[in-house]
Amino acid sequence: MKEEGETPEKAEDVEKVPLGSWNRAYALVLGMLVFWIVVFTIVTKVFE
Amino acid sequence: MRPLDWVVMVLAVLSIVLYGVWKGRRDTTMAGYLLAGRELPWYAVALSVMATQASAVTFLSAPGQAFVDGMRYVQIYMGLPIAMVIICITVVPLYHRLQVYTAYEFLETRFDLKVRSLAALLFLAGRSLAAGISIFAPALIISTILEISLSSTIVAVGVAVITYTTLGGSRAVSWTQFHQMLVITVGMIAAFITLLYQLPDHVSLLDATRIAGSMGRLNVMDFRFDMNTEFNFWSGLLGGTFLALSYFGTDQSQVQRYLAGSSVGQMRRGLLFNAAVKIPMQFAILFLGAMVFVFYQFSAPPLFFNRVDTQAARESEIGAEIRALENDYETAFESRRQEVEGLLSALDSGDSDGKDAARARLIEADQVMVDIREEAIGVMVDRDPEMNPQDRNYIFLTFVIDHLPVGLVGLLFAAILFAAMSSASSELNALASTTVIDVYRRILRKEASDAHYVAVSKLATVFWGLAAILFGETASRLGSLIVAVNLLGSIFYGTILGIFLLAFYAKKVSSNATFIAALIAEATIIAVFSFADIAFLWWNVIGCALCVGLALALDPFVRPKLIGEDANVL
Repeated sequence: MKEEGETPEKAEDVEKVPLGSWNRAYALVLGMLVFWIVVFTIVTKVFE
Repeated sequence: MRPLDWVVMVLAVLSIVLYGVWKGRRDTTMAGYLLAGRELPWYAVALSVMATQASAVTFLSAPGQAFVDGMRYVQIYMGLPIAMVIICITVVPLYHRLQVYTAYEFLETRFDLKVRSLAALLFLAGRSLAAGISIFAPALIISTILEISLSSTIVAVGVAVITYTTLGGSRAVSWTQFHQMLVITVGMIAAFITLLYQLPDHVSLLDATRIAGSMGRLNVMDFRFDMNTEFNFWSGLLGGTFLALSYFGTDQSQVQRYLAGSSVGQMRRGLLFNAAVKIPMQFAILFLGAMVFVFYQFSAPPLFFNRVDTQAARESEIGAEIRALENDYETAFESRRQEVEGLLSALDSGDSDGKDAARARLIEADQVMVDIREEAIGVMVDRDPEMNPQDRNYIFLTFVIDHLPVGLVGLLFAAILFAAMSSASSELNALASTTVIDVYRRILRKEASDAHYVAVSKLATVFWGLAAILFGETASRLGSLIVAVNLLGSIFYGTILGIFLLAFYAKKVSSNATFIAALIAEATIIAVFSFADIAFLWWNVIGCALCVGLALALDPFVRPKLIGEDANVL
């Protein structure tokens, strides 16, 4: 039997939120990660 | 430290305590006390999340790490932006719509009470010890450098944190973190600018960077795949993603920070700000350490940066030997300084053969200093086997206290204390909410007023605060265990992440399989921690993979022959 007591709404019931305009923000963040990897690689090579 | 520095430091700490108490004075409901009324703007969420992650050791260890080993430590954060994006897409909207107080509440909606309780207990076990270390580690360093009592420092920091976290709740924690982070940023920038001014006139920032690079301190990226190396690109990207997913997605001390955001959008902005800023910020802190390293190419460094241990050695039976080694070290420093000047001339001339030769001579001169230092540390450890032979955590504050102007020294010490307080306050806040929401309200007393639960939350905060102080006080006698305790997060995170991944993505797996798999995965990671030589970032991957893999494999065998929601109960 399911445990008694106060539990939140079922997780499965939660409406899925579309990615929408946030896609650009996510792409920007991941793009910055690639940018830093490239910059750091250059820094390592140039100054070693 | 001079009187003005003490005034600056004490005033800063007192101000933040009073501000925290004032800020949270009106929160009498559960949502108000535990989640700041769910009304924080994104910038408060952003700095609160950042301040929670950046403990005092971050600001002390990272520059010391760069000084000793170079900047490759930054790779540990390569997975963080990836994890933040995943969390923003999946976890944030779910937690927000479920209106949960803790991350573990969600597990009961997917599995059952035993899985929720197991995850909550794993969190309480790991985080309660970490809270003690959050206070102990900086207190040890500060008390040593200022030559004041360690116990008093631990108690003073602990009481300050307990006061505003208990009286002000989550709102006090978030807003004090906002201001603490600003002070820390200003302090670190001021330290960096002052450091550049203290370099010799003929040494520019570019020269300093070239010296650091020539001496192996700008080794930011390492693409070699080696599971025994703590910091390389692959462990940072893969292990770091798992670590950050666990930490930001399932650790209540972080989840509670962004759950206080006023909307999904505000929470996402706060987290994505961290995703964008964390890597360059950590790079800047490490670069500061590399510049401190260059500074000590022109200004004589102490033989050993822990001045209390050095003084004790000087005053003991090995005093004459230590003083002789200090003289040798000074002579070797003068030789090395000449080689640094030689390297600068060679770099300016553009002659690549001359540059290589000058660099080889400098590295040879540096090795002489390294050898003398290691000999001295060996002599000191022979005399006192309990002594910690690592002094990298003392490097930055030694530079601060010896070379920064009056007033700024006090500000930097306040910044380090703030970093300790901000991490500890989040941890106490999270420990209290998990204790009350997942244990007290869920199991012990299900029906009571908000005022009652807020009062119990305050008691729980005091309890965990006192436990942290007590652990901090005994930690000094745990010796090398301190190192192990710093890795505690990775012992528990993999398993907790595995549970959450199953909850999110394996809809058919029963709670029985998840529960058994989590127990086996946790036992395995503890065995790996105790007996195997695998870098700690990989523990997150192993724990998570084991938990998920075992749950999927065991599910057909342990799933009760029941249908519907009864299938989730043992």
